[in-house]
Amino acid sequence: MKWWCSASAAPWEWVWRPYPGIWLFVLLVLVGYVRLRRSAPGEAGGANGWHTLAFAGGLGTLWIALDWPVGALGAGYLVSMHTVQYLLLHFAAAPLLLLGVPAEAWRALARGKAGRVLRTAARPLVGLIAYNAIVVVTHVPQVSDALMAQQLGNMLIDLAWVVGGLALWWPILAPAGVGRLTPPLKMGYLFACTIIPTAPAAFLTFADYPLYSVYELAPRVSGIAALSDQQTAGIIMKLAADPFVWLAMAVIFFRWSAEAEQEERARRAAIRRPASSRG
Amino acid sequence: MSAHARRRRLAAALWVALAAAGCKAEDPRLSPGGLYGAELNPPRPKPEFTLAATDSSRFDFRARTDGYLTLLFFGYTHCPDVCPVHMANLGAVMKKLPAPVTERIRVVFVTTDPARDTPERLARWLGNFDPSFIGLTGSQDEIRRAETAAGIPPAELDSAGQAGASDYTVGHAAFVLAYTPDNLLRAMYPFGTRQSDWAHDIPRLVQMTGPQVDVTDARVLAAPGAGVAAGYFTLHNRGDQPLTLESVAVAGVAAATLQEQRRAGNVVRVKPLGPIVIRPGKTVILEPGGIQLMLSGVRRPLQPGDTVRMTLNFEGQNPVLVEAPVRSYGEAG
Repeated sequence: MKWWCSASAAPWEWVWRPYPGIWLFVLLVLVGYVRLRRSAPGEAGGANGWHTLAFAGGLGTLWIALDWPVGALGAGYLVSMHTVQYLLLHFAAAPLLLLGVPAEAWRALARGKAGRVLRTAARPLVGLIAYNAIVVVTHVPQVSDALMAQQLGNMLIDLAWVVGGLALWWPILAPAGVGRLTPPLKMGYLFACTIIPTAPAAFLTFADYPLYSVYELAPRVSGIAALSDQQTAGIIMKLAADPFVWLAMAVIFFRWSAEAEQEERARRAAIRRPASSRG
Repeated sequence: MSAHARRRRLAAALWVALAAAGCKAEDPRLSPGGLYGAELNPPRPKPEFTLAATDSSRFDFRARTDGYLTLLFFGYTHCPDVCPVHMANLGAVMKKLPAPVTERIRVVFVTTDPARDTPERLARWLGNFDPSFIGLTGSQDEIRRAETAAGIPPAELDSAGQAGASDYTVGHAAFVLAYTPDNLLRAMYPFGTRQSDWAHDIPRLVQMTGPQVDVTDARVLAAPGAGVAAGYFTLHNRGDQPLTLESVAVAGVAAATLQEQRRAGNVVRVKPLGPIVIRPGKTVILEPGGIQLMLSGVRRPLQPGDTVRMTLNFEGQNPVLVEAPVRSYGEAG
């Protein structure tokens, strides 16, 4: 509450600002990745061009989501931009970062001290609970308002969303030997993960008044009303997030179907071979 | 019943009790009067000032907002945060409230930056939030007088503005003053007031009017240097329901007691009075030798020409604020 206006909050301006903390975080992720690849056996830790491309995509998305302008707008001006951050971190950065690490590197890591954590996190129930808990808790207005009021709290939410994204995708992307989900179970798991986030998305879309004081009391950006901004956020959260999951489900299905077809072909070939050798 | 079943039943009962308690728990942010705004007790009278409206007509604030819930704010259109957010939130809530409520509201924005806020700019800027918002401007002195009348600290240009620069900020009060339809300032809303707070309070503020009573001829008779004084006034019930005056609170006085004087021969007997009931259409007169308001423990000696603020508390009604001039006992009561 403020009783005297001395214009302390700066209105949004399209003037670039440096965020060295974000650069440091991105650099740390890059260093971690290089070390992980080096620790794996084989040339380049078993990584190919696709791994490097996926990791570069993940790291780039992480950077875009956290740095100016998306990060700055999402941190204190527009809840719709905050939801774009949520989308980028959960559904693009996290799976791409996981895909960027070769299976051999994961297995090597799982043989060490982190093995127990990786195997536990690959259980669908753990992923489901962790992801949903992070989504729900970080969208509770009281929690969000309390954290977003400070830079550290803001960073905590960003970090929680990165962890939430990794928790969501790890049961799907963990290599054989670490994760144990079959393709149908993976699809079922992903579908289950879309259910609970519908609640915060619905609250955002259908609330009569703005839910978050941080955004309601922030200087307006381009005249966008606080409630319209919030409704946009709700729509983005539901309608833009689900296609990512459907796409992943489709990829799992078609791969599973292709593998089954390949197995069937191999089985038929195996049956035909003894018959032809008899003839 | 097994011990396990008993424990489950106990747990269920406890859960229901906790849920019920949770449902009944009141919001700690609410004022005693059930508002999210900072409530004033006693309320303050609506100020009188006249400024220029955006159509260049003279706007008598008190007269033109009489009978409306009036939300008064002093700010400026170049303000980067507080002013546009307050106006945007009020505008958003006005769109959601039903017409019978919004028809009884006047939002008045007085510029604290008349040099840059031309009437055209002010009208255009306010129109972005709600076309019904009223913009007022005037000379720096007129605006300062309006701020003083409203009881808020005067706005100040920052050092750049004082040095004559064209790009500057103005420090000013960041709260909205809410005058209920009975022309009393009952609540103030600082920056940080949410749309949901306005949506909760505005329908209540619109309903908040004083009782249907006319209070006239109010005065206080004081003997020089005495620690006691007596208050008198006339009450007329213009409504169709009986009104009960329960008590009177007087600023700067330890106790204010309603009592009745009765003369029996040469002896004047004084009897404390309970609540005074005024029937519809009837008048009750407090006058020397009859009913009076005894003021004891006067903290500052009252002098003729002073004004005493009295708050009349009627049962089940909002308080009525009365300002009574002080007269000496020698003057006609």
